[in-house]
Amino acid sequence: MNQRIAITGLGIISAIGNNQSDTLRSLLESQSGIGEMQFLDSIHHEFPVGEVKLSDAELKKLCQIDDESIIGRTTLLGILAVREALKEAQIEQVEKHKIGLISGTTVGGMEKSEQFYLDFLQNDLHNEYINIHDCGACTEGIVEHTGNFCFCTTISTACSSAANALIMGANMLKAGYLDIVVVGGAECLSKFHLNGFNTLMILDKTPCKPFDQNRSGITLGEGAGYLVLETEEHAAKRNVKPICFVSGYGNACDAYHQTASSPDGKGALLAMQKALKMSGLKPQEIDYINAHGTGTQNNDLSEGIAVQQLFTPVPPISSTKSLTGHTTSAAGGVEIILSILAMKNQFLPQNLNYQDKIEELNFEPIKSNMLNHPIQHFLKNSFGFGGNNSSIIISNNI
Amino acid sequence: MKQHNVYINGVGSISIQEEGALALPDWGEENYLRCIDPPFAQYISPALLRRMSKVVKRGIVSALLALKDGGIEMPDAIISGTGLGCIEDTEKFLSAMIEQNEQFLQPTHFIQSTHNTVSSQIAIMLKCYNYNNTFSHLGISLESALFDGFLQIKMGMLSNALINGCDEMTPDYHLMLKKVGFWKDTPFQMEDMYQAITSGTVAGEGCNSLLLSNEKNEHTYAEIKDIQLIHHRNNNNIEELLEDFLDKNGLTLSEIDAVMSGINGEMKNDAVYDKLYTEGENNPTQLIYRHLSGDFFTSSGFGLIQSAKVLKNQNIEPLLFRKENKKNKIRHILFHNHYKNSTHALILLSVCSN
Amino acid sequence: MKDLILELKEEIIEVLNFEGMTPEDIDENAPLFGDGLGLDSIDALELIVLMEKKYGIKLADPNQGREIFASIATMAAYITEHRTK
Repeated sequence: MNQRIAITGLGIISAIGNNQSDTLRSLLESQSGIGEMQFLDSIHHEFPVGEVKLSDAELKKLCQIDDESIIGRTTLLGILAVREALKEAQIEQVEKHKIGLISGTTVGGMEKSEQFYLDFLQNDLHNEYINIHDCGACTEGIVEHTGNFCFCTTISTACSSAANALIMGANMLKAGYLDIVVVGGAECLSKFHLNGFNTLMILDKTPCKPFDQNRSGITLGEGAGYLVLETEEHAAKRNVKPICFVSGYGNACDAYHQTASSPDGKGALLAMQKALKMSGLKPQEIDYINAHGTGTQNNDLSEGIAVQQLFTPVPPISSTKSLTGHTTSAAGGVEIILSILAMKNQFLPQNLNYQDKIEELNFEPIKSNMLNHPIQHFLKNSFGFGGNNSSIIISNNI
Repeated sequence: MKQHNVYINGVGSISIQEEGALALPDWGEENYLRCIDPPFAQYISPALLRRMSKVVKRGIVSALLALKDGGIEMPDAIISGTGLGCIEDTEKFLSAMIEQNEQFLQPTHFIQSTHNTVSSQIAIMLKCYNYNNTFSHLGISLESALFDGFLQIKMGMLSNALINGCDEMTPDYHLMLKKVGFWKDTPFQMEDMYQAITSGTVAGEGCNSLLLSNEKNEHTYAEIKDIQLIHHRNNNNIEELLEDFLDKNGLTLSEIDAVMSGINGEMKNDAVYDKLYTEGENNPTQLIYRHLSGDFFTSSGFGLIQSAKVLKNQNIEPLLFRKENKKNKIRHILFHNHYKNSTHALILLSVCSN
Repeated sequence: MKDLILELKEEIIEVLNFEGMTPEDIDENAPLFGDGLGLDSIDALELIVLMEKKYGIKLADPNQGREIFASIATMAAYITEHRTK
């Protein structure tokens, strides 16, 4: 029992808040953070986005980092969230612990590279940004400003990166390679991502409508979400009270298509089944599902079919991407934390912008916040391009 | 918890080397070589091939070779490491986006730009629904993937895992890295590998795959006893950490027969290894590989495969020697790779006598 | 029309990376998706980009492409009627 994986700290920043308390307030009020882009310099203003409401300069100030520093927005978001998580877990000096950082990201420092790419090739004006282009450099940047972690790596499985970081972190704790691990992901908006998703014609021109019959795509967001994990025994030794527990997880591959989900939701189903099996829970013991729910025709149907196969009836389910936008690599971290905040405050968060049930499915998402609704166990789905599907089960601290 | 042993049972490689015995390549003026590609059509159907970039094709072929070598058709896991991901497609999309002012962009380049493309394309080809993951962390991307697979086999969560390290070095990326001092600006000489007096290294690319398994059988090359990835920004105690790692595995440095290190002719890089492995007494034999593979974020895959072959065949190809200090049977190889002395990967490989 | 058909064949070979194929290998009346060239949903997106970039035709809904992209001949007919460049 004492080998249970406890969550002892949370850190979050997204379109709906720069920290836990702001985020919780938005979540309780169903206040969406989606709107017209203010900070991303793209011609595609027809697409609303879920931006963190701070410029790079403001983020640097908040991080107490010199304005002249060569640092990407993804890294800045990561620094804020990791710091918040460490603080809650009462880890003041990172180097005093056997502690690792596993971070998920996909386009790394791309939002800078896309500004300076021609300079990289043609002149020497912005060479200092070359070194912060890749994913690993983002994580190293976070480490530089958060503490001397003794283990550090980066996972890049597109939109399930943060969830896979959690899985690897939990495995490392169980095997005794680390005492504490900070897991999650960070990703800022970039023209690269916005244009990329646009070529697939899966961006919605109105705020996304997950699980609605007339859904028409993703709203991109940005953010970071990190969790501090340690064994229950280790938390007790440090005299830190667990917020909740990781009771199961599963990673499976849809093996169907590089960008599309299979019609039968096979990968999604397998990931959920693996997570349930590890947790030892029955499907009916899951009180809430925080869906991947991107708002594309393809994902929501495929995920819905998989959920229906496993759960009869389907427990209350919502996609909080309708509030934050799709924070891509950070989504697993951000959305697990949103769900934990809901769990700790005994409510089920709403799936915004929903009107009509998807014809092929037998369930509707949560239409308005369900207050005074205790959650003992919830399941979080996080799926990525390439069929990288992962599911996590979190259980309350009782 | 019952701990399982982890073996390397299959290897596959697409590199700058021709098939057959290792040869020292001519590094030319630029110190930059690209892969010698296999006939992809022999491995991948034309319908799939049509859309794949080079690194994806190479990653698939090296993976298929490792599976075949290890006698497994469907792995329990596909885990890849890539420092830069699929940069050919990333560059195509990025430059079109800039040149065409965010209009008329082709979806294919975006789709294939994602770092996890290799892992997922292997899964799609094999119809493999099992664990699938991709790491991208600079010079320890492959080691991170290897560690993920190792850990899960050890814990009994997987019985085998296909590990891939894939990177391509496009001319544009080569230029970018040149600007930040990655490459040597004087012609490479073999002496650089013995005693580096200049900065920079030689640029290569490649895809290397290893099939890990909990089962020792006729395919087995070596046992992976342990892996430790160490991250330390102020790295002055690596000696101590190395000692701890060996101690944890019941060994001392004097019992290590050979060290396969990431020596690459870059003086700051090589000094770290020299301090550890040349200054003591009873030094292990020093083995090197980057003059044969070129340097790239996952070049350690090439070195790991060479190490596995040494342990299996009990024979060291002459080109791998930096200094031969011991002539006995090779029981233990310490694989040591560091990236800018801030991250170290220690991998302990041991012989398997059947 | 004949020129347009040849042009389309060349464009498709180029954009969709049909290495080693020549325009003569493609029958303009054969289906592009499924049995014929075996195109898929990503190719459809590529064709939508081609229509906009080369002929100034904007298709807002990917499903609209299904009929237009039935064959090279149907594509050519649609382009002839709707092209703006």
